[in-house]
Amino acid sequence: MSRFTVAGQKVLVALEPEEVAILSRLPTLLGSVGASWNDPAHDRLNPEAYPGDTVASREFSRLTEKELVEARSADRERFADTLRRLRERPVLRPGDAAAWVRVLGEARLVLAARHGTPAGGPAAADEQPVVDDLTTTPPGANPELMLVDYLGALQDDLVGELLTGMGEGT
Amino acid sequence: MWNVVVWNDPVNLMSYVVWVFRTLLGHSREEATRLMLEIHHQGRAVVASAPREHAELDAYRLHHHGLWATLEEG
Repeated sequence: MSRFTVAGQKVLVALEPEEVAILSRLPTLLGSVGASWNDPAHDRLNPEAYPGDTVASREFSRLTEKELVEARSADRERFADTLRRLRERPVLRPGDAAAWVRVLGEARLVLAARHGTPAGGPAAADEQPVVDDLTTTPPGANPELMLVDYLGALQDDLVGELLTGMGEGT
Repeated sequence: MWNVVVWNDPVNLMSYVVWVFRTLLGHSREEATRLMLEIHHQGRAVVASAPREHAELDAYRLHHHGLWATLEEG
């Protein structure tokens, strides 16, 4: 059963208290990105815009980095705020839902990068076969990868509802 | 014109990538799905073409959504 149900412009949320507790840790997780100089999650979230052109890539980063940090911070704050109010108001408005989708996806990328999951991107393009989506992990797998799975299931549920709200199923 | 290229990665879900292309780039359901599958099978796809400034804005917005986007001159 989906934890999200689209209702007009809003999305109704039905999460267990344990799930809310897990999700409440995500803003801190995401806020830690880049705190250490060799954090692989930072590189994954900030790919080179011009592969092979260091000067152009640096200029792109210089122009976008501050705004990107602020946009991600705003997503985390919106996610945390709606999560705190979920017991009284289990509803996501359109902007809330988009922030939730991004935060769930960003958390998956951060956890996977720190676990050593191949990042993909241009460096992996010549590798065959193309790596399949990280959508399931074997029983007894690393708890962080199991969290990646769980967050993926939530994100898939929510995206499916948002696409339904756009007039199309998944 | 500059091409906005999105590369395959093993973490982002197919449904999420389709949703991003629909909401961010305005692609139809069919085009968004076609591009997602091209990325999955070929490793990359050109998802938009535009003047450089506009293409850079698209790449920035795709980075905000966690997609591996790069730019190349078309």
